[in-house]
Amino acid sequence: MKNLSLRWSDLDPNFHLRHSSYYDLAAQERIEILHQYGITIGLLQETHIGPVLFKEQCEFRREIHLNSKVHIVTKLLRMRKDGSRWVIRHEFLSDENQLHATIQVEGSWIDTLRRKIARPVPEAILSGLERFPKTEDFEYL
Amino acid sequence: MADYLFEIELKVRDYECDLQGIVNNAIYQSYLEHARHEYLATKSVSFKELTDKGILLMVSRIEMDFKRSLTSGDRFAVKLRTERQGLKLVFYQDIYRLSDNALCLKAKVDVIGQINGKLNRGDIFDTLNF
Repeated sequence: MKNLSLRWSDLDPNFHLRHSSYYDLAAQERIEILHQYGITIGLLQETHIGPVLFKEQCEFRREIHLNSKVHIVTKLLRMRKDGSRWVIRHEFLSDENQLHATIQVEGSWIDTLRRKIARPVPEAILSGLERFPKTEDFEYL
Repeated sequence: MADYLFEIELKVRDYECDLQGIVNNAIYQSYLEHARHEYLATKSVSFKELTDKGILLMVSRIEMDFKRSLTSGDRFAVKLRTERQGLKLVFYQDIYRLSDNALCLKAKVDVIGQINGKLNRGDIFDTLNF
């Protein structure tokens, strides 16, 4: 578990984390976890495939300040069996396990050359998704 | 939708695009937020002045549906309307690409008010004439 390292530029005039930073931090976390399970930037470049988001929602529960000790727990909430559609949930939690925010993203894979949804999903990507940590209430779509 | 209260035209900058050459998802937050603040300005309300007075308008929830991607150089309009729902002011915000009027994003943004550290019941939005 790694606490977020927040920067001055992540804060807004209310002295708390700006909205767009939540999304940046979650996206970075997502990419790092995908990398950990073999879905690397190199693989995405080689296969001309990239993640594409259809929907993103965020609920802000408690403010996050510059000195807050917060980490993100990222898990797969839903997935099609062929990996062509997925929902990932990020929870921003304090050291005391208090929930600060939840981000849920719904996405797929896009062929970056044709700008069309990539199907079938390459085996290496599917395999990485299958190993991705899952929520307790995970379901196949 | 015919009942937009406000709209602003903007242009995508090169550095707002990601590795795929399209606008990064977090950037849309900035477009939406800028449009909301400009809308406040039309009501002679400055976000900064409110903050200085201890009146914080904070987003409690955002939902965005991505319909089409914007890319570098695209000109677009952020349009909005508002609705009071209990203690929240809800902004319905849509982004249209100007070249073909294509809907690129639909968003629903819930805003709550806090005055001197206390959650406001929503009357602050009436006071500010939103």
